[in-house]
Amino acid sequence: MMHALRLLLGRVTGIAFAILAIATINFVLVHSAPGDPALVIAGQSGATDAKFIEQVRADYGLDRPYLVQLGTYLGKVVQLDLGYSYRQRRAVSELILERLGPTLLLTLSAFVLSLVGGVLFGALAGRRHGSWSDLTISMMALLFYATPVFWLGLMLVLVFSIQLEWLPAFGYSNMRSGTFGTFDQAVDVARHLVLPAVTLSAIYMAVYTRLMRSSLIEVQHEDHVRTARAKGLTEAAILRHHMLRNAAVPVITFAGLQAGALIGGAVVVETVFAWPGLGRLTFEAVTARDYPVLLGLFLVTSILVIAVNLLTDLLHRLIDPRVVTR
Amino acid sequence: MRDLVRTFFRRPAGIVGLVLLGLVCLMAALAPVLYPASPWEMTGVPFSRPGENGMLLGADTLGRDVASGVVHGARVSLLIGIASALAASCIGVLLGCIAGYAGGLVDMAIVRFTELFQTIPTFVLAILLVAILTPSLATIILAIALVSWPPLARLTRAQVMSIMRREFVQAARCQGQSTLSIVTRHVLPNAISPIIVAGSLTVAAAILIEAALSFMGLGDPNFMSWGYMIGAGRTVIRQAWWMSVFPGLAILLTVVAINLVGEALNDALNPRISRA
Amino acid sequence: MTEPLLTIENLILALPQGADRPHAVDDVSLSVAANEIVCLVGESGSGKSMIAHTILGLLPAKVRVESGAVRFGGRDLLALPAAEMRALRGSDIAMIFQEPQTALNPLKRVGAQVAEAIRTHDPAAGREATSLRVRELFEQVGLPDPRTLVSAYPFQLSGGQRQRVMIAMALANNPSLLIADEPTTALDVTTQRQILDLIRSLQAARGMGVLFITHDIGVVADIADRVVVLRRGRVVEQGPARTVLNQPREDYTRQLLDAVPGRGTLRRAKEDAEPLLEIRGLQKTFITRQGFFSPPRRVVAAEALDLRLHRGETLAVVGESGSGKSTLARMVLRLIEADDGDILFAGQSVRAMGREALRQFRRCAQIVFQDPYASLDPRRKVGESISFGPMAHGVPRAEAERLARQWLERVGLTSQAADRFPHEFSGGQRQRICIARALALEPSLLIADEAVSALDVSVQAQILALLAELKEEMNLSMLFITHDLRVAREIADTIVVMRAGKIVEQNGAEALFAAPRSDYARSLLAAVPGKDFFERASARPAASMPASGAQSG
Repeated sequence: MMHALRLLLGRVTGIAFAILAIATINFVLVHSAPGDPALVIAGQSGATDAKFIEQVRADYGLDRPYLVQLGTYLGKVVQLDLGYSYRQRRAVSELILERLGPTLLLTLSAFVLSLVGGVLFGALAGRRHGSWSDLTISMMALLFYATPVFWLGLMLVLVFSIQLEWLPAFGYSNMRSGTFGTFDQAVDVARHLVLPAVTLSAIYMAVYTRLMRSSLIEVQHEDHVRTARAKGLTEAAILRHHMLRNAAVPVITFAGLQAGALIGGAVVVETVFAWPGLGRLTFEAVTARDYPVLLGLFLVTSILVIAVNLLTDLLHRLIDPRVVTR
Repeated sequence: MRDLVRTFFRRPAGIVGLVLLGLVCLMAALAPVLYPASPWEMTGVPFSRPGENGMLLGADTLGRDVASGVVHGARVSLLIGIASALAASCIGVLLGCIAGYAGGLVDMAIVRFTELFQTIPTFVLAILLVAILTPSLATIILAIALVSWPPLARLTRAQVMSIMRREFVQAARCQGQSTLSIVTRHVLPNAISPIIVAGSLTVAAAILIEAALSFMGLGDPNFMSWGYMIGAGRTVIRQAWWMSVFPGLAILLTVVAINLVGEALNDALNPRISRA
Repeated sequence: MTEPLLTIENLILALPQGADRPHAVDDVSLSVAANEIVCLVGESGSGKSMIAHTILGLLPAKVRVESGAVRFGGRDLLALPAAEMRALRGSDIAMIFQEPQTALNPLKRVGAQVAEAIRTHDPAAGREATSLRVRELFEQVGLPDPRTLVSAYPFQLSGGQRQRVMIAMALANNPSLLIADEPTTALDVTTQRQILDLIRSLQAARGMGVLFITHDIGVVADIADRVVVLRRGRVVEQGPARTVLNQPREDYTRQLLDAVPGRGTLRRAKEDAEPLLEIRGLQKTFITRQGFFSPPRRVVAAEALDLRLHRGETLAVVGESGSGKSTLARMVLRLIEADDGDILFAGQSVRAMGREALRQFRRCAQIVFQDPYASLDPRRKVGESISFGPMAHGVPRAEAERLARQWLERVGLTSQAADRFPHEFSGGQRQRICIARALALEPSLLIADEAVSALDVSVQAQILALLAELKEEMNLSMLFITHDLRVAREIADTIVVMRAGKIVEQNGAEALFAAPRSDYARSLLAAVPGKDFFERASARPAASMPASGAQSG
């Protein structure tokens, strides 16, 4: 019990440090940009108004020494104050909170889909190493892995929305809240979720398929599989009880490492599908050069990555009892 | 060396990859010959379908030749891909070597630093960097390099540490060989193979990141790139599907080619005991 | 004469193209009766493991059965359909393997893995009944506290405990034949003794037939009723153990018996010579951090070590795994830095040496490592690996290369070997190269860190003889690290016994073997395989020692 508590404490401290470090990087970025940081923060909205710039300077204490500024900024971060978007005339944290839900929905569904699909297809391919199904799955995995995610999204829209008209192309929901029941609303959102989630998951599913496949091929030659065979187990039982879980362990570890890439992919997918999440907000902020929003997004998405890492770490510990300490 | 080449060509995947890659490079090299005019010039009829009006792959909303864009875009993608992968490799290999060789506090500091970078969503950081530093070829290459080095550092560190622990390195130390000569004679030649493979795959990843950046409008405005073309074609996808399809296929083929070459290289450089 | 339990008739196993010989096993016939232990003994590459795997159909895909039959219970196992073979595995015939570390599924609890063996052959068994049976089995194999141990994972158990779990799993369905593929080779010598005794008592209690694969003649002498000697896939000799061991008919068998080290006369310590190497109060603790808040793990590798090696003497440091003996060797050369204490070489403190002095010291003290495969740079020609040493000390390249070739010939290889790569040589040949590399610098102290442990017994004998020759010639002093008391007995003047970082006993070889003072040393001596047999055998005139050998080893 004490041991687990110690571990938890250690993790939490590590995470706190990481977040503070990332916030510091934010700070460094703003101050390393060419030109006046006040201009960077004000973005393109207030570049010409001298009085406005002065106000920004005062707000952010840009005349004070660096360390004081850093302290102020970190203090603000801890209080969940991520700054103000002069462009959209709202607090950054408000903007982000509004868009957090759809991004979580998209990212989590894509994560689960890619992991489950990857393990399944990878197991199929690895089990029948060298056969036609293995070759087909491997080739498809390579193709999807090499496909730019935004292009895949557009192609799926082309086929499924425009040509076949099966699924909606853009947005989150066609219904206005209040008019329809929650179940209908949920179904509607689900229909809109299909293409973006499939697009985002396809790429990573390809990665996990390849990894699971090679992992399974390796596991087949391990000693404990031979022991299981010597006990008289059927090949199916050996696969289920002695190979799948063992082969999946490195895939899960890797999935955790890919969390950052997944969230980055969500940015692009949301842009393609006009999905009203953080990614779309990023696109809008980039186009408008709204730096406070961008920096806030940077911090929040990093926290998301840490959260996903924690989740996969938990999953890893559940499956592999050997993982005791870092 | 001869064995390497022979093993490389034993698998059809390597040959296919090399051929495809060769075609792309050829295309990039011959761009000014094939399409001497700038791809930005509006030489044709807007919204031409592929094959119409002398446009092999059609024209975009402003009458620009899609084929010309694809061919010229190859130069941008390859340039950025190779340059950023090289830069990322330099940073990653250097940091990895230092961490692996020095050990102790230096190692721990570098490991924590690398972990931090890997916690940050790579694409978001790239966007941020390019946006803040204003988009240009140089800033894009810098941004991609800065987000791509962590896996290379991890790999190099792991390799260096594992080789340093091997007895033949210990024996070399006992023979009295200097640190520099141990690293150059014994450590690097044994460590380099997976790093080369990882480096080549980084080129593919870099090309994908560049395409995504251009798609989001953060590409160098002076150069036509594949990602930009797809982005431009996004809103008119119903009317002009060819604007998005062909540049995307170009990206797909290039990245597949690089991956095939990388995998064949892996087989050639790290022969493992063949199984079953 | 009852029908034997298992009969192997004229078995031929074919290897794939490109292997060093066409057949792994060539026309082998042997049998195992009920209630007897048959030992299948041979060196590496003899095919003994392949034969064991063939019985239960566990051969790797590349190896084919070309012809022959394996009869058990009136059926030919080689012609058995898959479902019937599966019914046999783990029930009538059970098998235990060499590496307990990897033979168990790391992600499943050990109790569950044993229960799986039961339920596979008795799907109707209830949960309660199975758990009870598992606990019974754990008791039978001598595992402590079965109730809690069933929920343990393999990584939480020691090597010996894991092997006991494997045995419990094998015996779960009361097999009539047990195949044991080198089950004790990866274990410490005291654990090995325990497991051997366990297998013997279980065999007697259940009246099983046991086919025991091993490379160690000592083990054969301890437990075998009958012996089959294999060499390069062929049966050299077989018969009752007593006969084969005491009156071997074939030269190869005799060679194997003679190669077992440690049967010659014991030496006494050289007291008069001055100490070349002195170790005083050496201290080393390995600390591994475990995250922010957990206390770090401390492993004491060396505690207050005191040691003296005289000029021209061979001192053997004997201990089991984790005793700290290898750490000691590395600390002497400062490949690992000690925490505290003194190391004096010819009166000078090694720990206080600066960079240049250390380099010069390392010229006078060289080391040969255990693993001949990891000890040479795979990307460098063998001659280069040797010549880099003298070159680092100022010898011009041409001269260094000439030296390298000279040394290669001295250790029994040809001078052309200098142009070849490590992977072209066998384990024993590589070890010779490593010796050449070490001695090319003409050291006065040679440290051998388990230098012969990874070698076949006949090759081991050759390397030991080579080392003895070279030691005489160059008046070397040797610090020999080993876990095998027999090797220590063969070569040492003084023996130091280590355990958990401490020196338990230190004495001249003769004195130690005649009258060990500590309990631990006594238990080590008692655990030596084949001790009784070889003591009786050495009472007779000893056979001549093998020559240091040339190409073959």
